[in-house]
Amino acid sequence: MDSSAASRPAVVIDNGTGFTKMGFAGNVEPCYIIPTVVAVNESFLNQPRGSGKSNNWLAQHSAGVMADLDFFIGEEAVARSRSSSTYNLSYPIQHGQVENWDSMERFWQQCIFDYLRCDPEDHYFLLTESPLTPPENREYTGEIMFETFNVPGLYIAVQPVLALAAGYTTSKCEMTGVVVDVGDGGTHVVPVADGYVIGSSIKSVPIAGKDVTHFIQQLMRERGENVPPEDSFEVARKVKEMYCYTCSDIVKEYNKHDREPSKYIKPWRGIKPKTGAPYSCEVGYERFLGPEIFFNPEIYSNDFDTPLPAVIDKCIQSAPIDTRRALYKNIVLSGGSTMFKDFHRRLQRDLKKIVDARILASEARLGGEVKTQPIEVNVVSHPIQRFAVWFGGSVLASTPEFYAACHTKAEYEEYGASICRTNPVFKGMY
Amino acid sequence: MILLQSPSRFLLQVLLNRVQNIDKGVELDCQFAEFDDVRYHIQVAMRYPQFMQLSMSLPIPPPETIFFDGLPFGAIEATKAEYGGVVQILDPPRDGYNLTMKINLAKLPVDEEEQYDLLVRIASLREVVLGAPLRLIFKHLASKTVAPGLDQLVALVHRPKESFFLVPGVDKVTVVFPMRFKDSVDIILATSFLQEFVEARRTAGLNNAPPCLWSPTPPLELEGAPSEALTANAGFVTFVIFPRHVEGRKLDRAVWSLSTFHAYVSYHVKCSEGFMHTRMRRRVESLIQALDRAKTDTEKSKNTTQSNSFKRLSLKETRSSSDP
Repeated sequence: MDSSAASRPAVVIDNGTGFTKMGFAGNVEPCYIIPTVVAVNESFLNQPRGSGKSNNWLAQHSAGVMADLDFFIGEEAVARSRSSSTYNLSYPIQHGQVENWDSMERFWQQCIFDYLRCDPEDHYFLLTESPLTPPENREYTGEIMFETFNVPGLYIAVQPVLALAAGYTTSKCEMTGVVVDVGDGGTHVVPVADGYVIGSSIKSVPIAGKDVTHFIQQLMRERGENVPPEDSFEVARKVKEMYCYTCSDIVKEYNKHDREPSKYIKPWRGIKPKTGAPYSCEVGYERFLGPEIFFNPEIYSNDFDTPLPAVIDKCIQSAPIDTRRALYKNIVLSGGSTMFKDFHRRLQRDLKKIVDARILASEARLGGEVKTQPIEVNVVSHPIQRFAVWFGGSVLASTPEFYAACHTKAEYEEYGASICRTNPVFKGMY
Repeated sequence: MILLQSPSRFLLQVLLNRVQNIDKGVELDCQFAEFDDVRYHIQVAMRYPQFMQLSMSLPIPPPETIFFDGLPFGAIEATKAEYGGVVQILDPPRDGYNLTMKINLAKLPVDEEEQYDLLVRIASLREVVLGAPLRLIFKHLASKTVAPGLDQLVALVHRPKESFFLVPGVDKVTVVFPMRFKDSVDIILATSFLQEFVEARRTAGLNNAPPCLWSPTPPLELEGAPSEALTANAGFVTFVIFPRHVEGRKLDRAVWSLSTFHAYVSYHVKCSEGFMHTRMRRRVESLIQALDRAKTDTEKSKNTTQSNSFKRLSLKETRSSSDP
């Protein structure tokens, strides 16, 4: 093992569909949270082959453009693509999977050299992947990390496992539980037993943070609120982040709003982006109706109507029978869209209802002969939910066992990229 | 991005964020590292939100470099001159660090532009501390004198246990970098990169740039240097700096570029590896396309039936399967 590299903090990069969180292990917060997007200047890359190699090179040189270095990532990329038409945006990760390896490699390159400003040869790396990633992608990641960046060691962790590990600071770490990961682009319910993902029981829900925003936008538009159409998505996103909460019962909540509108209806002020004129509107029912689409999806979508608690129940019921009690006991939330107030309370209550109903039914079926032990349902929420995956990675990568669990450069050179297929669950996780 | 930027992006972000939320009094304790083993530690206590404690550790110096109290010569003076009353240097520094300073955020200039400029300069702490000796020598060069009290050959640290060398003179300063890389592929790429670099200097547009040379063996200027400093697996790069290169505002750029020359080469070696991978991927794609075209129709249909037997989980399918 390279001892000098092990003495430096490991680099933790969590590449999500929407945002990338990166920083150094041992810290509480990631250094940067930036959109996972690359703006590439493709005007020189796509020139026809037949035009002659030397011509192309000369053209590049005289234009002063280093085409392979002319790209931006994150917020800068978004700004560049807006202000000029030479840059095209490319989203390297779609639905949690890396789709464009060229952009991904460039994205990592800028993350390391421009944002974190570290020498990749000096640090161990912890990267994350979605539980549905095929092993080939892991090999690809390993190839890029070891061949291009010469990292001394690499560990590819599964995102839900890290979200579980984020609870590490509380006296003891429970590595069995269900992770409900609601991101911007997708929602997954992933059961984990002793640090291993139960792959066959993973359930996905096609409703996520973006849908909440869309629904709020739709509600405000239908009510005829005075929001400029070109700004309405942004306004809806801000309304979601600032005012939305989870209610216990829709009908009661409607009554509350109608009785005391002054207490519940929030004013919203903004400036029209084109004319610069100020405008104002009201934020009303959408405050609780937005998050409600997780619990009553039929109000938003026509082709999906299973509430999130039912999906979680189905997921646990499909897991091995000896893990189910432990799974009900530890349901962990992760991702930005679980940040609504009282989200975990509502989830716990609804799930408890389903479980209790099932116990009652089974007791009735057995005729009261056998008494079932009550099942404990526990939805855990912690303050760092928004980047729980990154935080878990930061905690794990600062344990001494992490360095032993990493694939090292020497191993890579000896056995090849196939070593990256498996990433052992290591001691620090318990 | 072609050149590495001098201010640390993260440090600047933290500083700006702190200045905007100075009253909120949130605790902060974080450490981060940079290339060439420079490490930072930032601390803000909840009780004193206007004070920020910033510690920096430098790469371990090789024996031939001159260090006073764990800092390159002239670093303390340079820091004081650069930041004035806003910054107070604490002695002794925090355990495990070379320099600890207390930044008083309440004393920052009120004017927004001036304030931003000062914050950027604080974020460029690395340039101020590690570049201090270089700056001193270049300042004397600009006024055509030799800095007093210096040897014929000055060694300056730029990487852990590695140094580069300066030969100060009245009308020119010769800078020699022994280039070392760990990986065998990197060595080859860096060698050819440096040869191209020297070649590119000869193009017409760069007549005023400092002359630069590459040689596989130690140049004559390094006579008298310790023998372990004279081994380099990617050769030696020599720059000759004339007074016109360090006049006025050019000084900062020259100091930064020279003190991070190794990181610059290493960054471009990685970039070219990435570029080669892009080309290789494109070639594989075009070869696969050619193979596909060569397939007969029966083979193609066989292939699709095979892939149908392997069920892939996608969002659409889970949507339909979870529908009751």
